[in-house]
Amino acid sequence: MRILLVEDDPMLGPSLAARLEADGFVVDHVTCLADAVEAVMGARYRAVLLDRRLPDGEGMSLLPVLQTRRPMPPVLLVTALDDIPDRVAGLEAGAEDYLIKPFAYEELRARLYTRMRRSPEEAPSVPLVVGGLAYDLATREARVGDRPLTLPRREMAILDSLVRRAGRVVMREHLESDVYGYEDEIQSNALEAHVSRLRRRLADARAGVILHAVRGVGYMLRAS
Amino acid sequence: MRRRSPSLALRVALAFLIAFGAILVAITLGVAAISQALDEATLAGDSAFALTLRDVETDAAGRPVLRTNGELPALVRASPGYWAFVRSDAGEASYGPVPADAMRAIRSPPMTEWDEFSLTIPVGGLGGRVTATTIEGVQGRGDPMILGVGGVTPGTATFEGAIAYMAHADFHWAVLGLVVLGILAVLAVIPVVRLSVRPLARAAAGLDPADLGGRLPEESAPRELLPVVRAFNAALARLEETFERRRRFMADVAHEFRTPLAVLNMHVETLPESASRTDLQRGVFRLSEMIGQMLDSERLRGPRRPDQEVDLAALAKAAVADVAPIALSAGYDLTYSGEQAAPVRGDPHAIKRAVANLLGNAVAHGGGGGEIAVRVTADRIVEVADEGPGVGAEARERVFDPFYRERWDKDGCGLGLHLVSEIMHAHGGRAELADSTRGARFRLLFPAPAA
Repeated sequence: MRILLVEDDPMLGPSLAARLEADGFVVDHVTCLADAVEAVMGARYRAVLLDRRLPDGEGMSLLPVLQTRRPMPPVLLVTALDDIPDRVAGLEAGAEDYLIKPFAYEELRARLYTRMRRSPEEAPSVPLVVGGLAYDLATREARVGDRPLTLPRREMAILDSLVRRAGRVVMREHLESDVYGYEDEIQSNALEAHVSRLRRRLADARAGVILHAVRGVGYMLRAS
Repeated sequence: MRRRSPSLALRVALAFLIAFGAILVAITLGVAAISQALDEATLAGDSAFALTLRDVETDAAGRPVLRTNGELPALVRASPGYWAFVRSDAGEASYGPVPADAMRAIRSPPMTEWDEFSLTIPVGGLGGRVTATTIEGVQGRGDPMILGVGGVTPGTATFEGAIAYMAHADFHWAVLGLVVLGILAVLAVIPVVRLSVRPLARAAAGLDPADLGGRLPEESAPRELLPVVRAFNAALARLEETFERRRRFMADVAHEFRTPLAVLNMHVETLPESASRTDLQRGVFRLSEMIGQMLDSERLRGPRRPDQEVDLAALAKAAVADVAPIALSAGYDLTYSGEQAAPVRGDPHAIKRAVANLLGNAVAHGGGGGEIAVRVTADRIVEVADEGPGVGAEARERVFDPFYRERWDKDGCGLGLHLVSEIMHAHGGRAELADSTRGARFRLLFPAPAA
């Protein structure tokens, strides 16, 4: 699972690389555009984390180079520039996602996984951990300690969404589209019912997590 | 005492009056000088006529004769070109060099009209000297006659005579007319000057502090005011440049803060769960909020502010989602209720920031528990209510002031609520602290989007 990290900050780059490596990624860390171009031409990456302000230019100018690669790796822009036009420009230039500094590492990791979801066979063997809950993105298996947590299909789908964005609110519209197919008719209280059953099961399993409801907005899973 | 700034119109009018007065005096003096010269000549003609008349006599045959031992020699001495010509039905007599045209003028009228005949030719003369010719019908001793005299020089007249003559002239009417015209012109200057600066004043009043690209229109300025308008516009351009540079600097500084904050955040996350970790996380969160607020505050003043149709409900929900992790871990319940869609016009980023700031405020001052309720109504009002101690009476008036933090916002930088009111102002709406029986209840009121 090789990814490219383009970040020139002498503190942020190494710490980020270290944490990604701890999570099972193979990280090539470069600090300037020229090195990034060289790396991209020489290796095949599963994802690119790209800073925008680099000592030798605008990080987004790497995007055309990446577009010549087949398949083009998903690009996650990690930047301090958060103006809407900046974001739009970034996404229009071919980046898949936009993360603003300072970010929560869990958020970055979750977004990386989300972008790489299309090829689950390559997902890392290290599972996502929230509290006492471990979730394997590839196999979609949840465990608490050594005990596997078996869940009905829809509750599992909800857990999948919540774990990927642990520590953040998942909007209920997103959950609904993740949990229900197009053909499914959504009952107004169905999601609430599934979530409260899931919450009870997590509590019963002593998963060490809290499933918060933000009424009218969505849900959030975090370590207790 | 305040000194009133001098009026341009008044000064123009004053200058105009002075110039006008000077012209009037010059004209009066010139006219007086010229007319005096002319009148002296005419008067000289008149007095010479009277003197000459004494020398007109009739001979035995009834023909007019000019006596040469009377006044005539003295007149010739005073005016060497002096002449006289007398005519009646009986005959005619002449003295001195009579000009041919004068002789024709005296000979032409029929004698029956003698008493209607009177002619004064004030100018004329030989060798550039001013002389006069006077021709008049007279009842001599016997038959009526026509007497003409000429070639008289002004020196023979008296000054008193000249003044008396001038009093008869129509000149004073002309002077009066000119004075009235002058006053009317002065009165016209004031509104004309006022009117010509009005479009400029209007343009200046319309300069929007949020849009530093505004300038005074040069094309609507009178040419005389162009230097002022250009200088003003140049000053505006320099201000804009300075502001823009400062704005970019602020944005750069804020951006530069974000990377070290990201490092800090990442290391804090790896710490074991503890009270100090929560404090650190809160500190990092507040720092990044403050930087976000600084950036937003700068952005509000910057160019290219987006103005698009946005959904207030979606933005409020997104703000709730953003603040939720902090609010939930601080012990609050968060809820959203109300509309699922409420279209307004504006900058989505700024609107979301306004709601997020109210939420951040509720988290900081909501008493550490209870519910923070966000509601969006169909008439485009966002309401953020907490169940904390509320806002004290003395702070109510000032919560939206910049850097107001006395007691109320003791750990914020005091910019959050001020930024909220700035954002609302930029959107043509307002932020208010609503009355509440429990906790603080802030409301954002948006105007209806123009169709």
